[in-house]
Amino acid sequence: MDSVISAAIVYVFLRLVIGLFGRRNLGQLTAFELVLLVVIGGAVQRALVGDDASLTNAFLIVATLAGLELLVSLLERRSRLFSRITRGVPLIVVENGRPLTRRLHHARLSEDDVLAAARRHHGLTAMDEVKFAILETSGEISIVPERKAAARGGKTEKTEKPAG
Amino acid sequence: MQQRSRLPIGEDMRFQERAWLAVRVGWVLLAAVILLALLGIFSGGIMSAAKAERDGTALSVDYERFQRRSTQTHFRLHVPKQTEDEIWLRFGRAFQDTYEIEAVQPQPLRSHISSTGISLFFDAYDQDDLNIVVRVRPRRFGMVNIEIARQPGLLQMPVLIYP
Repeated sequence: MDSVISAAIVYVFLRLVIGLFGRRNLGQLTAFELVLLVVIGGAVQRALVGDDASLTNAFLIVATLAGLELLVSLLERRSRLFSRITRGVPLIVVENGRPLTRRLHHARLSEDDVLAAARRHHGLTAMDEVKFAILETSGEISIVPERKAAARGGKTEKTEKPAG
Repeated sequence: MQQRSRLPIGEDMRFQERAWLAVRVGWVLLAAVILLALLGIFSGGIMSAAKAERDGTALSVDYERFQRRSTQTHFRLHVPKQTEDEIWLRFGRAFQDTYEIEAVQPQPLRSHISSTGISLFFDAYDQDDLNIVVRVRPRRFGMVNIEIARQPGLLQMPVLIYP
């Protein structure tokens, strides 16, 4: 019983703490953040397993964590509000080439992050070529290019490739 | 604003503002937890270090007010120099039920377990102050009122054990 309760407490605690990191890190983990997650995993693992290194205990912990994750995904499908709480909602951070600075600030994103996404996905190099930039619930930044820029972007990609 | 409404992405700024507020509250709580941990509220710090003593009882005990289940902690008992050859200490029933005793230094001459707790007898012949360290490991969590008795008195130590 202890294992199930401990695993459930750890699951809820990790959900809350990871939620504090914000969406940004989910989509763009740096090497250090990856190491940090491994360290967090190690710290939690010791508290979960304790002295009981039995196979039964490991099964119980895995079953509890997997069960809770399944439950959360089912609740997310059934309840829009629950899904919004756990996953968040998409957020427009650039509108018609104009960065929405307050939103960027709250989402802990910079204009450079948006431009990097614009370069990566559409070969765009300037903010005015971005019609919309949206921070998705996954942490990814989606870019909707201006029509003219989209056409130009295709060409830019082609001409830039040999240089890169 | 017109442009934004045409983008059907399910944006909800009212909800988003609340989410940001919740995250900021979370940051404050996280910072508070770290600060409290540094101060010792989760054991091992100035807020956790406690001393129990009482007039008329020739015994004082240094202990951790906050402890953690399955993590070793200790009670440091100080018995001032006196004339007896043998010192008798009784650790109450709550102590017996809560802790796994891992080590007692110095070794007691003998011990006795009864329904009221564990009694330990220490050699005090020709000794100055006696310092006894009892290393224990809590096996349950919650609020516990630990009692250690030395005739004619009794020391009470409220202890909070975290899961």
